Amino acid sequence: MARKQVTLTRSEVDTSRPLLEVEDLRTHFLTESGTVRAVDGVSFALERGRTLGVVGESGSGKTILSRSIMGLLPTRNVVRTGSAKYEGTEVAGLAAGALRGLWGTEMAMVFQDPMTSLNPVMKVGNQITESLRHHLDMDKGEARETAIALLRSVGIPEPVQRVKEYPHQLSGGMRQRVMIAIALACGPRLLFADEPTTALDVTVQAQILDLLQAQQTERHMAMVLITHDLGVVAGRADDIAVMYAGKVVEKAPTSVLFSSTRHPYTEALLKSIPKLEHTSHTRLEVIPGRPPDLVSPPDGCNFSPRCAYAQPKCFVEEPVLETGPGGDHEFACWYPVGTPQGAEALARNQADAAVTEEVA
Amino acid sequence: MAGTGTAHLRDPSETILRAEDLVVEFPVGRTGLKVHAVSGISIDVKEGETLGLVGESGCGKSTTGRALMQFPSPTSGQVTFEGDELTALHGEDLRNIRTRMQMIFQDPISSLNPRRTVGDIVSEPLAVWAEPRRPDRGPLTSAAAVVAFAVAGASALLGLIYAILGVVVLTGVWQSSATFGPFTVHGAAVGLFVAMVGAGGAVTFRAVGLGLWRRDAEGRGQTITAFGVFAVISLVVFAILGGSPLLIAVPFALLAVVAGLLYAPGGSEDFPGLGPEGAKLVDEVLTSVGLDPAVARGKRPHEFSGGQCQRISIARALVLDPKLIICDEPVSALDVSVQAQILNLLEDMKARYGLTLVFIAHDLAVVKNVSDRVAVMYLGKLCEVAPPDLLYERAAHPYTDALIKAIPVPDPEVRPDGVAEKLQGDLPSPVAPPSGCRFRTRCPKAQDRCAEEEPIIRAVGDGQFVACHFPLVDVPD
Amino acid sequence: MPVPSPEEAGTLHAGGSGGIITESSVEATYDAIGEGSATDVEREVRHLGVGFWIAVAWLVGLITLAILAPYLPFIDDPNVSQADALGAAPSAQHWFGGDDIGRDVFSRVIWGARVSLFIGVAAVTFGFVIGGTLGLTAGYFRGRYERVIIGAMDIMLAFPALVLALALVTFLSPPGTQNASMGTVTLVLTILAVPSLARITRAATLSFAQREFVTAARALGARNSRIIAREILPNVVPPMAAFALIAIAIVIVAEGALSFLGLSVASPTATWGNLIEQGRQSLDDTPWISLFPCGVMFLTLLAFNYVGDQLRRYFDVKEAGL
Repeated sequence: MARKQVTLTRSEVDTSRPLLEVEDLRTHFLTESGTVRAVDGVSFALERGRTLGVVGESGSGKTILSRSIMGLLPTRNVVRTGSAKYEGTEVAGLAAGALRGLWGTEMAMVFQDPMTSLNPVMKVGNQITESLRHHLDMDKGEARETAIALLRSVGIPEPVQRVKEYPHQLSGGMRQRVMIAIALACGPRLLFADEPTTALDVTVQAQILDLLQAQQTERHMAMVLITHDLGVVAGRADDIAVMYAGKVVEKAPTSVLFSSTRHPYTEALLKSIPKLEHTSHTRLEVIPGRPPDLVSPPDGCNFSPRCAYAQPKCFVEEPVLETGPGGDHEFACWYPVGTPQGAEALARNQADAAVTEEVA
Repeated sequence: MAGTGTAHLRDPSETILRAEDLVVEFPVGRTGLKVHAVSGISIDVKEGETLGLVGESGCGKSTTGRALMQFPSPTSGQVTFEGDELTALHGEDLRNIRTRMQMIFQDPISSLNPRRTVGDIVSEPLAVWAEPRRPDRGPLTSAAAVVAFAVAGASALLGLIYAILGVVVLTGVWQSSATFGPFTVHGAAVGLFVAMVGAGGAVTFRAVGLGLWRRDAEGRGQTITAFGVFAVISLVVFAILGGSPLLIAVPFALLAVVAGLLYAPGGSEDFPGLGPEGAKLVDEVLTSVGLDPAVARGKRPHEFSGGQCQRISIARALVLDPKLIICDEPVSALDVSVQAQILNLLEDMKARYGLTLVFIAHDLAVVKNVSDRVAVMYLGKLCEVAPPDLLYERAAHPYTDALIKAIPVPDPEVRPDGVAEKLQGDLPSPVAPPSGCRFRTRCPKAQDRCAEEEPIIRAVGDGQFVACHFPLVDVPD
Repeated sequence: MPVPSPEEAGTLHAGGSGGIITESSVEATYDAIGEGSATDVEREVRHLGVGFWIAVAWLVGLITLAILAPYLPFIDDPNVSQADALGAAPSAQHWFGGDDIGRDVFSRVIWGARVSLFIGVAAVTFGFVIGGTLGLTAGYFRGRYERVIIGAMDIMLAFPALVLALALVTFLSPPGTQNASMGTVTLVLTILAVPSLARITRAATLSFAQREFVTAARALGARNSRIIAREILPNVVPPMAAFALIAIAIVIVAEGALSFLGLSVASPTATWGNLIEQGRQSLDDTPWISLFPCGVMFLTLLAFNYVGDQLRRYFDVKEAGL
């Protein structure tokens, strides 16, 4: 099978530049009921070897974001604008053939549900060697050896046995390891992990996250860890971007995000999670309302109808993502948490009892 | 830990639900192997308490929940609910306890019938229980009612067949030389009329039974008027159509109307049926779960979000005012922010309706938040039972400890522990579980004794119980 | 979460032969579109399309003509020979021409439609009543009962359909002939239809009986009869009704085959199969005798299939929109 290659001329690669630069990426789906603005202006940069955690709930656009960057979107009824530069080369808008050259060798993805992401009628070994033979032109024997070594490196016991098995013969944790092995087979430099542990038990989760971290360090890979679980990113990501309704509402290094949260949504999210250290029957603080309609989002800030800090300005003007002092903490809010104007706004709202308790 | 034992059970007089030595096994196809889903679990719940049942996939917690509800009955073991031995009940008797014991499921959208409206769905419990229980009706009334309803139904059916055949003949598709009976236009018309009367009778009977038509004075007046009208029409038609034998069925069909009046009290004593009282109850319940009844009643489940669907399920469970609700992973399929809403809602409903809950989930943080007592399960056995705060403070069982350590904490200061301390390996197969303690294959503290002898659950103090030979907390002798 | 099937939402560029990217992973893309837009997918396929309505119009027109045939002035008696129609090509007086005995082909086609449509509808209706009940109960109650039913259906399906039809018709006809009455033909085709309809109904029932709302109904204390009537039936009936139209098409073909072989309602009664058979010998000189019945039959079957298929998709999507 002829293989189209995207050759990144090494001389052009500027190692001082971030590995991945995304600028004002927008992905809109054209549907019967209107344009769904799934990703609506996302920008970030990712350096080699670093992990970016992308956190959001369903409808936040985090999955679409990763698909957009990788180019895994449908071709019809999709409008994509903005740029995504991988090692300086624009990948948003590349043709299918060129993209295929990138997938596996430069960037790869690990998906959420290993049962549906692995081919159920293909032996596990073949699924790995397929990638190796296609991208790296290995012959059958070499590919098989490499596959066995890969399975061993991801912690699968008895790899020689496993290459001959089918996905349904493996447990959930093992399947996910196989997925990781497939993703890493050709040595990509950028890995998207899209909810890699959501479908797994919590004890297996830890193993898989450890594995990803170990592989990342070993290969000096950049990783985008997409999840809805703030606990997962707290221990594993260098920077975290919180998404809501298609936009990044806050982005900061991990410790900064937790210690000095600025966006009300992040704060509300943190407060609504039941935590082990709380005593039992602690009342959870709830975010009232529901995520916005992505076809016709509210005027002004997307989060304003549900925000405890919202002021009239928030319903009219959309806040811009600005960088706080320190240069690495971005947030989009007119009355951020932990600032005097934010505190005032909250106090005012609480006094007015104007917090809309519109229950979903 | 392969805990069996009942040390942690309290005095039966204190608890409203008590399960002892539950065993649930499923055959695997025709291989003769069995899946040992639940192997000797004993739990109990006090009135007003929330028991949290936590464990990972394959531990048997959902199966336990279903076994408690007798869906189906466990392979062995006893379940006592408010003094009734559930495993010994069958048929009607088992059905009757359903009003006191309800269940909420994991997938909010799949737990609602996509083709019915929300109003319908939430009223369903009332419709099911609108008819009086069999012991409440006298034998003569029952017999008369059954006969009348049967005749009404039969006339409806017969009349319909006549009508269809008559139409078929009318179009000339079927050439028939008959001059009477169903194969004539006359026959078709008569048949149609009889069908309508029969159907009308049967419907009235049913409607009164469901409580849609009141049995009170006003309702009786309406029914008698209807009876009168039908009687007059039938006499007229009889005269016009000149005596078809089929018309004899008409008065009998009308008997159904009368029987409906006599037989069905329009709702049993306990539940208001579908009439205006029932509607009020449904509205009340919908409001208390946070939905606007006026808006929600007419919509179908697919028009709601996951969180709202779960609210509807909760509303449906509350309509019959049960004592106990078993919640099988009710928030696992929901977003984090919606999870919090539903958890708070469950607490509110518990307080408002005086409920007792059995909360089954895999997320220990969630279970800890809502429970008064937590039972940790692994591969069909109990590991540990303790109050939630104590469980977190000092886990006695190695599995509980591993579980707690594995949960990612949303605090960057808490770094995940080193790899060595984490649980390795995968869950063993429930078809061939390890001998002795089932957790020993992954337990950092496992020794020879664990393979030979199954640990029995024993007290550690302060309401904490553990099933382990080498617990992390000292066991007082 | 709404998960539309890939075909409904436009082409998916699954891309890559790297084995990593699979279509289902792109399907997951739509999970992220948002809870609020569950109706988006519904609307996308709700349009039944122009073709659908044309097909419906054809069927309605044909059925109307068929029912009113004895009363319409422009439809001649199908069994009466007219001198001017003898071997006549299609013309203003005889739209489909005349056959070798001088009967008006158009009228015969319409009268043939009466037979075909009646047998089709009747056989499928009775087939669904019997087979549907068997399938529904088998799918709901499972266990040994189900195994017996499925076994019986499998045995019936194992017989070659045409051979079975031949045998039954011969057995049930007046001795010495192979001419069956309409009732007999309907009965035979009903028997042939029952196993397939039972299997389909069972498959549909299985997928619903396992859903949690059925368990929920049981948890409420509903009896089996109520669960079947209020929970299962409303879900099973729409897709089955849509499939019934396709089944009617199949039965019409079967009847056509039988009458082509001379096993159905006898000449001189017009049936589509008869007509096609009659015109077979003279295809060179007077092709219209065969071709017009063929054409009408083809269009009718196409219409039934298309309408049935579109309705099935319509109901499926509403399901998937959950």
